[in-house]
Amino acid sequence: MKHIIAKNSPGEKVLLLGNEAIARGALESNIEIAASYPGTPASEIIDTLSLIAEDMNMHVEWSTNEMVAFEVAIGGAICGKRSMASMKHIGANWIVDPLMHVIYHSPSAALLIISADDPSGHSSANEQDNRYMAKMAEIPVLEPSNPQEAKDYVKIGVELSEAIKLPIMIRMVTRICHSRGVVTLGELNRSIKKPEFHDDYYNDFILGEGIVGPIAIPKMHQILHDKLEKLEKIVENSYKDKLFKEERIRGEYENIGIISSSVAINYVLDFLKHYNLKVNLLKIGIANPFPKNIVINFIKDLDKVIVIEEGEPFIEQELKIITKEVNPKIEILGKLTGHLKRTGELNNSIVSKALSQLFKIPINEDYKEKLEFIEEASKLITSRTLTMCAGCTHRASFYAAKKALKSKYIAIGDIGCYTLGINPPLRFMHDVFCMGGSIGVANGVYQSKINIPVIATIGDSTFYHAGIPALINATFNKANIKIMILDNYVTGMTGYQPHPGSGKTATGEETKKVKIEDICRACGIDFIKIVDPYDLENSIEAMKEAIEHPGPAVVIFRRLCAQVRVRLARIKGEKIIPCKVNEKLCNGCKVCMLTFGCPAIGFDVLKNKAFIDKTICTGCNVCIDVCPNKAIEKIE
Amino acid sequence: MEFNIIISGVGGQGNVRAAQIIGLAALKSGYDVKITDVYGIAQRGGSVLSHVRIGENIYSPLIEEHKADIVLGLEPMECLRATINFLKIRGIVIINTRPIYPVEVLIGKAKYPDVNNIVSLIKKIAKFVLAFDATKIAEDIGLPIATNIVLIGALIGLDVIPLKKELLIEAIRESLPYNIEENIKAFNEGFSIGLKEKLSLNSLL
Repeated sequence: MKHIIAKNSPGEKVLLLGNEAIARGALESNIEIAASYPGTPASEIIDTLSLIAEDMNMHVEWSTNEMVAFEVAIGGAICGKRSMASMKHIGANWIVDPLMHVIYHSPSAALLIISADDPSGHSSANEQDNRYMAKMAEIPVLEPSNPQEAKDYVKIGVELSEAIKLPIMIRMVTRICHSRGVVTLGELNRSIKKPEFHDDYYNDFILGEGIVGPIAIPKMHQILHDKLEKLEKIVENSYKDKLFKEERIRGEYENIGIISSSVAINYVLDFLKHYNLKVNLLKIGIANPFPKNIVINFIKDLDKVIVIEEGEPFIEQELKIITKEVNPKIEILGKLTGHLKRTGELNNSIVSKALSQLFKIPINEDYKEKLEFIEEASKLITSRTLTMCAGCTHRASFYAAKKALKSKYIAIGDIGCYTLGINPPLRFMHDVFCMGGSIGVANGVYQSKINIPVIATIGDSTFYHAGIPALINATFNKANIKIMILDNYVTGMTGYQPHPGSGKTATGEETKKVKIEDICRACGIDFIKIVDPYDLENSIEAMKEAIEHPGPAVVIFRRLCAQVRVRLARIKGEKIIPCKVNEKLCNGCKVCMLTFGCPAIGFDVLKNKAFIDKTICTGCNVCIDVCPNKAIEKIE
Repeated sequence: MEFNIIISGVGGQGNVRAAQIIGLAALKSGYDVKITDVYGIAQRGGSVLSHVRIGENIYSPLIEEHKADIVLGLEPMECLRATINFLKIRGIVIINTRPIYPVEVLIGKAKYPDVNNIVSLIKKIAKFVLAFDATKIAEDIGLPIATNIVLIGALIGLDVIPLKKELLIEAIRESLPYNIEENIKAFNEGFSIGLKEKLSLNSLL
């Protein structure tokens, strides 16, 4: 078996990552099309499905970007195939356009959006709560709280989506995506639906009024509202037990309640278990449409309620609106009142503190015995800046570009491993923006007439995703910018997924390579050079020529990602031959560390010599050319 | 019964895999399990922290600050960082003494703390500290990447969590794609070291 999620053993308990549980849920609910663009913390959904796609009769793809992925899912759903698109929260920004269209349609099969928020931005450039996106689009959003529910809610999502013919969002968060928990497997009966195109788009409203314009659009909007109203009733009548958990108590705390959802409920439950407490508790599994009646019933006799939720105070604000009518005196505590912090990921300590204050329970504080140790130990700790891997092709590319750019320049980057080029010691870029933002923003920097070289650095996968329109714009509007395309054949940052230039699909099938240089040529770029970043001399030369070229110019730095190269070598049993420092020639100048900064190079203070850690070195040999004293050599 | 284990290291050291193996063995032993990995942009040399929780009705995947029974440190400074934030007072620490230097140290902006200093500092608040060069053992087997498995072996040899050796070996076989025999060798080497230390730990109890 290629992955445990393909195991047909209902009732068996297995340990699954939240993302793997979503993938299993897709199998159990007969989803036939799954598309995505890689993005942490959502990537493992498609990574896992791609392993078993063929055996499970599923079409699984890495699309060029999230918008295309969602459109692929829409296409599947309007042809009667249950479909889903998964993405990280920022990735979901790309689907807003098709989303705001599809809500006026009625796909005949289930259409799911799996959106993974990343509170604290563990691997993201922002914090964003996509429940607000669901609210804007007026679609239902479900909030599972653990891997078991992640699996089960996919099934519920499919049922609800087909009941009201609307896309359903499942809002995951990092702490569920990247948590493993025990999941009881359900039935697995894969069936294939015959594809059929249903022309429901035109059937939902009166023909003859057209599909645009002030008569049709408000009617279509009304249909959307009717669907949501219908869903509220369906949820109350048939899904109350599955999407809600409610506990009511009498006694000391009978006037206080907790409302919680998603991963946050776990911190609440651990607190209650730890202090052996019984309290009024409502767990919400659907945040939009807001389950008014269920919530009203819960809070109508309470004096005080605390809302504990991951992300923005979404439930808290909805609660404020409804209590105005039914219980205006109730005190609502949460992120808006400062009882919980409003930014960053929640955790047990934050929730314990809030609850212990609310219920006036003294918390265990024997950690205070650690305070002296903490003070002393904290002085020893240094931060650990993220860096590109040993042998990273991007490091060599930035090093070469910096050598070519003697005078002042402005470099704009975007999203990928190469974002780390902004960190020391390279400090190549001056600012970084969104996917494709490097080329787009560089266009504007040039138009500001700043009059120094303007560089955009973009990765291969990001170029296919979002770089192309901005590149065309450079030709169209004569922005004399220099674009470094860092092509390492994979989507590196998220786990080496294939992209249109890899020649392989998500499931490993051979496909035609879409060449970056062909795209650049078609975008009107006259200067295109392809170099091997490990060849510093030619890389520097190509960058110099690009800068001198009178119009927009592209240099493609092309070589396989060092991590993939090392992994392949390990599988094949090939030896990696590392470099070493010849101590007779090393004069301790540290140029290798201060200008290049490969993590395999260390410094022995006692000997005043650099050294190379052979367990980390990948044998790229670039540092041999970096050393001014020729003190680095290959191990024979 | 509940056991909370923090595994700390640097991206690429196999933190996540180590957590998965312990979790799988716990599931096989009939416990409820929750695991989570806090790593941000993994593989890029940053700190990685895995939380492994074993027991009955485990809800949160995260371990509360200062509530970890055990810190398993794949890298000395990261082990100290995790001990500061998570080890309960009088908890147990298993620490690999081989450092991986951060960029700050490589470019001379910071000094890497003396490893002996780290160990003796941790001893001030831990009930028991097992410190050894696990990377050296893995290197001698010919598989430096198996450092994580050596340390799991030491944890099981110490006999401080209720998981049987056989189930760990089963979990290793099921979790690793290749080099399985070398990894089992790494586990056994670590196990012997842990077992030897079990006696001195017992004398403390």
